Amino acid sequence: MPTAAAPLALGPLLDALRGVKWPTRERVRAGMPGTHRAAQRGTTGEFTEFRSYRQGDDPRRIDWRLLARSDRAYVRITDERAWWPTWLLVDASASMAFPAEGDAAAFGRGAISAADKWSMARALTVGLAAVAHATGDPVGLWAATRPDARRLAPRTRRGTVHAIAKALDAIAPDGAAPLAPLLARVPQGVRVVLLTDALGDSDALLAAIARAGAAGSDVTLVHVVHRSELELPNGFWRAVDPESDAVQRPVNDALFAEYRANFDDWRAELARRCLTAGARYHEVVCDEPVAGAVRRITGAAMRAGA
Amino acid sequence: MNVAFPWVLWGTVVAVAGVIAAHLLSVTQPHALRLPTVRFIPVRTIRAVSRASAPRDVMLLLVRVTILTCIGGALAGITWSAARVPVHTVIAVESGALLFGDATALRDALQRAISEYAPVRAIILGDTLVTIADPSRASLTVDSLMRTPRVPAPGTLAATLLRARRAAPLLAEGADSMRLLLISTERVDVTTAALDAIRATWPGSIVRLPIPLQVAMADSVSSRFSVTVRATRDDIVAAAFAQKPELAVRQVLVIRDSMTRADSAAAAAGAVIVVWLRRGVPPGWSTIVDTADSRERALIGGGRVVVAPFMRIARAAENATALVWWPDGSAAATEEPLERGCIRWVGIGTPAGDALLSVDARAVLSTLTTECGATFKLATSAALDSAQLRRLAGGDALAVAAALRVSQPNSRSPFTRWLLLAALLLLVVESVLRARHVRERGVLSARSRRDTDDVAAYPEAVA
Repeated sequence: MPTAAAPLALGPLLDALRGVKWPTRERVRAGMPGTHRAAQRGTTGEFTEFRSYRQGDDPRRIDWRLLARSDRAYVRITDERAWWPTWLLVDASASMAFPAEGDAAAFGRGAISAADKWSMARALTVGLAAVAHATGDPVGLWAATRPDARRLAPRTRRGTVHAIAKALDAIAPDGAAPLAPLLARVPQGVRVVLLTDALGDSDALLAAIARAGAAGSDVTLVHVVHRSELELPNGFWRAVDPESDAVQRPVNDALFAEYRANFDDWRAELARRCLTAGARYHEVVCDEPVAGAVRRITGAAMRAGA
Repeated sequence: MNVAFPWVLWGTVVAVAGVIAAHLLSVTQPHALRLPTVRFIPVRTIRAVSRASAPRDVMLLLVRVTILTCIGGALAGITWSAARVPVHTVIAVESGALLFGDATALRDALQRAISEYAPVRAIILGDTLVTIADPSRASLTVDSLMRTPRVPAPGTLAATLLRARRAAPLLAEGADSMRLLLISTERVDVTTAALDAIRATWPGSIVRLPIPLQVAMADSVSSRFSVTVRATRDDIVAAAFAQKPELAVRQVLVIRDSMTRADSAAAAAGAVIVVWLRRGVPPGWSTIVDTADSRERALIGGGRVVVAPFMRIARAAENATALVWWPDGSAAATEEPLERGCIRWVGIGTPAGDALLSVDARAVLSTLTTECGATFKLATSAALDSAQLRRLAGGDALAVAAALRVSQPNSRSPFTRWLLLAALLLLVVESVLRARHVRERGVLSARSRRDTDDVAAYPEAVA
């Protein structure tokens, strides 16, 4: 029976992400007042321009001072600001618990020093939740666990990030629960971030991503990869699939190059298909600093560089 | 512990060594590591052989070794004997010594052999085997045997040895080797060409204990009698007796018609009267109906055997003194003493053809014309020369018990079924252990087969 991992140290992570914004690339749908520019123009909020009054406009939006000076009726046009619900979908299948506790030493020094995939996914989830929450957006969590998925509805109130972290701390990756059904149940027109190793239902997941993108959601796939998956340990050993003991293969040094080529090709193909489906793709290796990865995902690093 | 088939046991030892070696030298299972990206590893069959200083899967090894040991022990016919003695002794009394040897000397020889060569497992009298259940009381058995009246019957030294040889496998049970003592007179009953061949079947030395003769031998005694046959001219019996040489000192009368008072008087006066009636049966004999059982194929007497069709017409009384025997040992001709002479009754039907004219038949018929009371003397007895005695004695080595087993020993020891049952049960245990072992460590070949299916399910895993 898998056990839950050690709780995350939230303090340093949140400090490192203080001030990071996570703006939208496009206007968001109208909603509760927030920080994102909404697609709907309104009369409240930040002034944008004047427009000649047209029949049907609300007379209360007429700028009476400008009418007095120019004897023409103009209405004030302002940009609406709305929030943008953010859903964080986390893969909690057995493959995320890599390397396993007893196997870390066998995978070498890199595996011991770096976080495992599940810890990295948890840290990224909390970091992204913190950034979104700081922006004023409601943040929700949906973890693909067995037998039932763990769900936290999007909230903006204080303590949401801690609630998400606590919920993740209580989860031990196990089984092979798919992400695609959860993505299909996420409301349309929201921001969805998938944190997964994509080793389960990759085809179904990509199809769901395409459907969500078409429905107006902004989907980001964060592909969590461990360094030990990129660089296999030396020697003769037997690789066992964590999600199915029936899948086992002998490994020795002569197979590394071919394995790496297969893995690289698959990751490249996955990234290409994500982009094709209208989603963003970010690969995060577990030895990468979490804050840096969050900045990269949210686009903060790119904006800072720009 | 006795082993019927030692080579099976050696084969078992080799098999056990092979199993142990297989547990030391085998295709090792590599250690397992959980890798989520296992699907991207190319499907290959990889084997690595390693040598270990200690056997792996000790429990499985022990079970397999025990199975092999049980099967090997069962097939090898292992038996356990609580106690073994180095030598068993068998005393064989040759027929000549039994019939013509000095009875006191024979008793002394038997007692001396029993005391000197204990334990004695059996005494062979002629061709009769007497097994001694309690060797410590063998002397009592001798007394009992000596008091038992003996029916004189023809026998040969070869037959005595053959009887000893046939009984040897049974008598050798529980002993490492076997000693054969032969009590005989200076002259043996009948020597045949088979003696040397039968002697060769005894794989050891034979200790000969000679005893003196009780009665004098009567070589060529019969040739001093004149034989007269009272019969018709065309009688085959008369023709047979007519071949006897006429060197008579005493008279022998062969009667074919009927016996008269004069004949009885002649017998009382010292003549030998042979009554071989053409019709009817001798007085005191019981008639035998002509059936298949009454037809015999041989006649024995005078140390010879006549092989020819004969008809048994009557059965002699039980206490009659036999001169000629049927193959089953019953009397074909008897002798009845009468004052100075004797009357000899013949219960043989007149044979057809010239069966009575052969050399062997002449020897048999000569028994009927010997001196009264000397019927047990061996007309064909012969003394063994020194070369024959040396061949008979053989070397100094005793017969090894294992060499006395003329046929395949009984491999079904009492333990066989239990050992096989234990092996069967252990096979079940072994299969369970092996299945658990396979589950725990997996098998490379099976894994490769599963991986093939797995690759088919994830085609992107194949480069």
